[in-house]
Amino acid sequence: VSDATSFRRRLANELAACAAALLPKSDIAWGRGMSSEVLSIEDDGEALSWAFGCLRTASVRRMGSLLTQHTVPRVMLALYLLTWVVMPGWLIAMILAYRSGDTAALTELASRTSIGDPQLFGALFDASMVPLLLALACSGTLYLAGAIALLFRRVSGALHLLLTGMLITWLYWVVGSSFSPESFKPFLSFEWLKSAGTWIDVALIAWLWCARKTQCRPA
Amino acid sequence: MPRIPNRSRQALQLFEALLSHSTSWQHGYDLSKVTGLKSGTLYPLLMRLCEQGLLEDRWEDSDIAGRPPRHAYRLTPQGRAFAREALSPPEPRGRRVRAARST
Repeated sequence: VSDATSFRRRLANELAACAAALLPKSDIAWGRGMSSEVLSIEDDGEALSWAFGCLRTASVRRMGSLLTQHTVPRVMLALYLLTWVVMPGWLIAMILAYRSGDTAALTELASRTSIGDPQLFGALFDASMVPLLLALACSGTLYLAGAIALLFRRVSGALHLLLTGMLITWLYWVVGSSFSPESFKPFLSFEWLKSAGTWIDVALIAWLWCARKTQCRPA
Repeated sequence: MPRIPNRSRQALQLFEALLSHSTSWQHGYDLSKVTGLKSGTLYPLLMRLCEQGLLEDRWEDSDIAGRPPRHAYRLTPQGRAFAREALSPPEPRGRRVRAARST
């Protein structure tokens, strides 16, 4: 047995042991099964590949069980999702304030964009106000419903609601960009891709996806 | 439209392999070799089918002395019925409508 081969075998055994340890308590028997299966595979490369798959399965199961079997992570995530409602809510409040004649609201909104000038921003803004209000109201409501669904362990429902809310926001940005590139400059510059918040949100969606996959549905 | 559970290509491949030796117990790695499914796909499927009562598992002593017992799986009677139904070719739409009307 060469050193390289024995290293692969040792690594496979370690990965299988990690997978067994990572699985939730309810899946202990599966962890033992994975470890013994790795030991019964003769080829070291095959065993290593098998062990990687076991580790992937165990990671997904663990991530899923954190949301479906533990209250604290679920409530924490639901609270975080509620923060997604804050921005649409704040924007709706500012838009309604502007509509009722509060020019300070327009200045505040303009200062948060690359345009800056309230008058220019107001002219661009007036053209897209109704679609913006609709998109904000729909996505905000869907995010709120998603957070509530998650609290009640409706992981699949929560995921669908959040993804639909995100899709509506995206559609608004994409359609808006094609009509008025000037007012959608921040979106088109892809600056948002550099934001840590974007990637945290992507990670959270992936987490929900894992949890959804592990939830058992009737046959 | 809700996704129909256990009708994915991978699930059907697994059902086919399990049905071909429906009364004997099969190990995970052997199932992987027959179906071509990797462990990262196979184990979630096996776990789900067990949770749904379509599959049963047991421990079997290894053929090689000194090795730990292995997990083995086979379809339950409910699982066999489900697998046969899942693998059967879909009826033409017209026949399904006529059958639904006649009931």
